[in-house]
Amino acid sequence: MLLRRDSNENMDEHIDMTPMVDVVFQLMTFMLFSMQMSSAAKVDVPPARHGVGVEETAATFLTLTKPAVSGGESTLVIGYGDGKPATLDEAREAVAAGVKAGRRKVVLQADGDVSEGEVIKVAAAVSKVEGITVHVGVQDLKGTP
Amino acid sequence: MNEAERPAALWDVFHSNRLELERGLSTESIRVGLKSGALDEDDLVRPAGTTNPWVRIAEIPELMAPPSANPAVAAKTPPANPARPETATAAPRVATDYEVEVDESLTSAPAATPMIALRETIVQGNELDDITFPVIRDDSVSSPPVPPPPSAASTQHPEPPAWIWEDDDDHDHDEHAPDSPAGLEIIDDDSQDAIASRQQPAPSVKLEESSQASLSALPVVGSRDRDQFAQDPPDEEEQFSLSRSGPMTVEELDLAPMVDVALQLVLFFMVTATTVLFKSLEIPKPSPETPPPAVTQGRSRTLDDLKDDFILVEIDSGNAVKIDREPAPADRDALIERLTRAREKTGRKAMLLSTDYRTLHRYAVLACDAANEIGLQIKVATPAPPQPTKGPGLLGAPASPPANAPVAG
Repeated sequence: MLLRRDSNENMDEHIDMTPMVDVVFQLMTFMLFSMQMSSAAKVDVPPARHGVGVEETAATFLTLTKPAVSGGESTLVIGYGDGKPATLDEAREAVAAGVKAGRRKVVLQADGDVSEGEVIKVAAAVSKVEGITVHVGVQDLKGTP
Repeated sequence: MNEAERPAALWDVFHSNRLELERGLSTESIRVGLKSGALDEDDLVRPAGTTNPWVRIAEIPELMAPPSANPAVAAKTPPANPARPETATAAPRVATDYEVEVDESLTSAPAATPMIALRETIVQGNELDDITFPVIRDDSVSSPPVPPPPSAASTQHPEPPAWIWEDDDDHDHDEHAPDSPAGLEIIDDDSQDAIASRQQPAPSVKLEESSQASLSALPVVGSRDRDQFAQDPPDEEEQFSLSRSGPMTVEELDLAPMVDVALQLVLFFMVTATTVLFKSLEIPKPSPETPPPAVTQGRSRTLDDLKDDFILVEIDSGNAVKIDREPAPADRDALIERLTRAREKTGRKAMLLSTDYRTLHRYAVLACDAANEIGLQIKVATPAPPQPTKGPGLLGAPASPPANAPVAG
């Protein structure tokens, strides 16, 4: 006895793209978090309870990294910590360019171990540009300094 | 009662090779079909009108017996199906007929060796079935006709039956038998082989008792299943088929992938939004001018002058904190408490932060955050760079111990 099976049975050859899309987005999320963590490791800004958010496109960012050895020299970088060291004049020019572009805030991302004298020195240098406000970068309060 | 006189049982036959159902075949018809090759031992049978499980023909010895040699018995018309009482209501039209027509040329042929082609027609009212059979309307016969004996057929000319087909494909049969007024087809040996080669699905049971017989038989009509279904598909309940149907078409849109992508996008934008926001603490702009040495010499006096207007917060190079020249712990809550007490005691509403050049930035931020906690205004004194001893640093700051000079920012 032979009960024939329909040989023209339709096979579902459609490839489900949903798992691939899910994995891609998960990878993208992971990469975003990884970049944020690596950036935070470069500059450990001091914690504060009353910090306010500044949008990335509304400010000019300067970064002061901590010295390699205690009591050593700090490094001034224009941006978020990546790039070559800059001088005070270059930082001032960058701030002036930002003011022309509408960015009137200057956020100084200074490491907590940088001397306050250097922070004030950089802030005083960029304050020669008219019409700006100076901010120091902080992070969410986690504990006592 | 011998086998020939016993009422013939009716069987439903399922052709395994072509997946078709044939209903109401008599035992003798099945035997004849097995002998002629129209049926196979692997075909399935069950009693007509019942729901008994299907069994192979080979498992029923009664059906495997050789066909009867008496053509009258073989062509005996079974009564209407007793298991289906609905057929009784349509008695004039509903019948299970075996009609035998013997050609006149066979009058001289031996009566024991005729060739009779049987055509079974089953009509059950207007009910549609998966098997379509031609409808024979013979109002003159209300009961199952009894085929005349071959001798009677040789002496009488039977009246041509009134063939009426349920479908509209009569032209096909006209092509098969153009010369037959009754739509009958003359079947000889060659045509039998041709019919077998075409594998007409309609029940065509032939008795070959003699190779020299040439009988006129009922028209051979192929099954019109496909055409019938294409024009008027029957209901699912009425359709009986063991063939596997195609996959059901799901017309509903699956929203799960879209929801997945949407949630992932939301998560992506949330993470992106948090990265573009930097928390910051606004500080007063320090004076870009370098304090003159004369101001440095009058530092103590200047701080004393400002003491009446500002709450003095001093942080030395060792990160020790003093409030109004009194030591204070470098703790946020303690600073807030001390600043609150100083404000309530003197009514001062601003803080002057004076740090050493080498004071760590985190302690200056701690003092500013504590002042913001209680709403004090903040003024920052620019620390004087220490005297150069080993050369300037990267930012031009000397690495020597400081000689501070306060300048209110």
